Amino acid sequence: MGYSRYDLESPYSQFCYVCSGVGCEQKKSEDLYRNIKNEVRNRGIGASVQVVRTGCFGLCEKGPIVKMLPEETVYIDVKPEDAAELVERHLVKSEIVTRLQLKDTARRPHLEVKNDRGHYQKQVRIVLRNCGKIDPENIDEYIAREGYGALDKALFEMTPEQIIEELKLSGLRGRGGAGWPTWLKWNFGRKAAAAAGTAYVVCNADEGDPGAYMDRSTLEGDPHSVLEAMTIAAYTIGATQGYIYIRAEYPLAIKRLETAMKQARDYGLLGENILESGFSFDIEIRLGAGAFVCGEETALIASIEGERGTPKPRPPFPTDSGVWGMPTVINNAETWANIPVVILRGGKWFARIGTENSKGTKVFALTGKVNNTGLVEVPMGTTLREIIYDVGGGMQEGKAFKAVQTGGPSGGVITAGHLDTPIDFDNLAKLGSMMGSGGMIVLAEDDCIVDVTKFYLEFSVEESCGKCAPCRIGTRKMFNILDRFTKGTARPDDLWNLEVIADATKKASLCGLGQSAPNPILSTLQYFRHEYLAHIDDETCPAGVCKDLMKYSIDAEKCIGCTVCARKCPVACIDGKSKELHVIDQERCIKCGACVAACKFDAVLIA
Amino acid sequence: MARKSREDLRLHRERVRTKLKEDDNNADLIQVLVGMGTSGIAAGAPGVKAALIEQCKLHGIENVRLRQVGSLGLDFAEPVIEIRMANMPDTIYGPMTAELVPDIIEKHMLDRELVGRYVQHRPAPDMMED
Repeated sequence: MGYSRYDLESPYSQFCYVCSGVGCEQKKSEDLYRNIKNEVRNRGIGASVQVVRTGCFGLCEKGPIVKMLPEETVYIDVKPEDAAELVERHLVKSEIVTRLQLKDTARRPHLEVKNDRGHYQKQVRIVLRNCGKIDPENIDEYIAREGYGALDKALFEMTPEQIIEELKLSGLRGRGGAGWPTWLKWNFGRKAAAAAGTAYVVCNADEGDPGAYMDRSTLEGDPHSVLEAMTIAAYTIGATQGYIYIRAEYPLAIKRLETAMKQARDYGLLGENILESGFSFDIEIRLGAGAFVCGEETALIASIEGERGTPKPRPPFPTDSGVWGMPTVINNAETWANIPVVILRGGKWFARIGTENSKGTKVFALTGKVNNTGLVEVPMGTTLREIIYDVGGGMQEGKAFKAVQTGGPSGGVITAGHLDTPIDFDNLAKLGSMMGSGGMIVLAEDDCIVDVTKFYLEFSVEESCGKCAPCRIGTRKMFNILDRFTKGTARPDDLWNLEVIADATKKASLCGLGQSAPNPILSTLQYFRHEYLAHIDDETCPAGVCKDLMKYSIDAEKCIGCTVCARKCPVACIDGKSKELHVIDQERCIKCGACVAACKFDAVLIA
Repeated sequence: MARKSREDLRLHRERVRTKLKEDDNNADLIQVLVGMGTSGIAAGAPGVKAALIEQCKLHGIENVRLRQVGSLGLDFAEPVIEIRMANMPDTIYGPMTAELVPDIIEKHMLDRELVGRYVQHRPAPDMMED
């Protein structure tokens, strides 16, 4: 209901929000807050205006930010000395201080919504429209917010052809990673199903990328949207049975899905004769045991059938031969959550959001060295800079931005030079990364690129199913080489070896897991080759992460011989008499850093 | 919980929508939405919810309704709650702790005063109201 229940009978008739996020605090928002409070008190309006410090507002580059309620006027770049003018004009005289007001000239038209009073929110929530709004275990709250309205419309007012046409208009592409047009998939499935006589619908919720959790959050916060969408797809292609393949590590999502399915069946929205339309469809949950490869659709199908989760060569594609050899439409949970909106609002409505070839929004799991970690949903075409600095509240502790890892173990890095690239399927691919499922890990100056890459390769080694040699052996070989880099034992030809193996693994692997496993290497070699070289040629880790490459020594000028470091050293590798220079025995040093922390004279050097 | 026809579903939607709207417009009702996604729960939402129930009782506030909702996506501020009541702006608070609950109840619910520092901003407009 927004702020509509807010009226002037409150003890306070106005609220003044002063952002005290990290970014704004660095720009003296604390002084600004005190000045505003003083001005309010001096003018005798303290009883009707409450001034509060708030959490990060976003828009950190334009901080400090002040927001006035109930008008929701947003002021930017407000300096402590602006306090008097702001209080006098806005709060006393009820004027807008246009000089400081946030103007929405730079705002893209696709962000326009009627209730958008603030003109500052970069996020548009379609997939997450109900998350945080409704009780996911109460079907009535979903129904109240247009829930199952799309199913109603599809079943009674639309033919399957019209539904596919609407999807085509919307430009919706699969959110699982590859970005395949959804309408095309449904259309293939529908044609194949007509010939085969039966078909299946599958929700891929086997979300396995490290740091990605958009499917989990969607299913936990709004399970009915996925059920409704799957039922619409079943009606479109002529399926009577659906499966939700979800990993067992998501117990809460599973529980809420089960509750939702039971409620939907009770209401006749799932099962026999849905809404008395004569159409029947039901869904079963299949639990994955956590193998990453089961997110690959052919492996997922094998796992649903009770077989070992290993991929098969395509074609045939699942739309021709999927579950039990029948035509199968598989979409990712986030894609499903878009469908009811596309049907209800129409493809045209949906297609006005986003870029030319990537329509709608994308949910990203923003993690790493950014202040406001969390799930963000932004229109396609939003730049990385906007996501990190406006939505994400900027870098933690003011550290320098190094790169963003997107697409998990199949993706790559985007560097500072590309912060202003509009993010969509095509642009990310051009940069050598990929949308993937939407994990976005922000790396700072103190993250070692080689070490991060090694982490992803370790993941791929563990998750390789072992069926094909290029992936099974290639990922292991690449990991070993990266391991040598981080341990200071890399050989001069290792960089060359790494590139050759990466290329071979990419070309020869059977499925997407192996084909994309070298991506983190190829992408980081493209942008951070110098960091790899530093590990071999200079035997140093520029970020100071790879311990084996670090060397601790004691500065002869600064050391006063207080013996503190020698006493703190857990392996007793520091020698020296009282009031004499101490020396670290490099052979025995385990590089734990205890001496650095203990020394009061900054005499321990790290190189 | 009977099976529904198309007509039934539409009537039912109107009924629940009206009911929820009445709750929203009910000047005597305080609604507290508690973010109970995995991130909220991991950060301590169940403890906050329990403290809210206990402290409301202690303060003699009976017209409060606690609702569990999914995650708003503000993971850095979890556990997150939202308070919706008459004469106050809908307010998101986080990171919440059980210790903070009495403050929220006394200041926000009783004195109708925001509890600074913990106020978070809404990440996006509600497209369903568009």
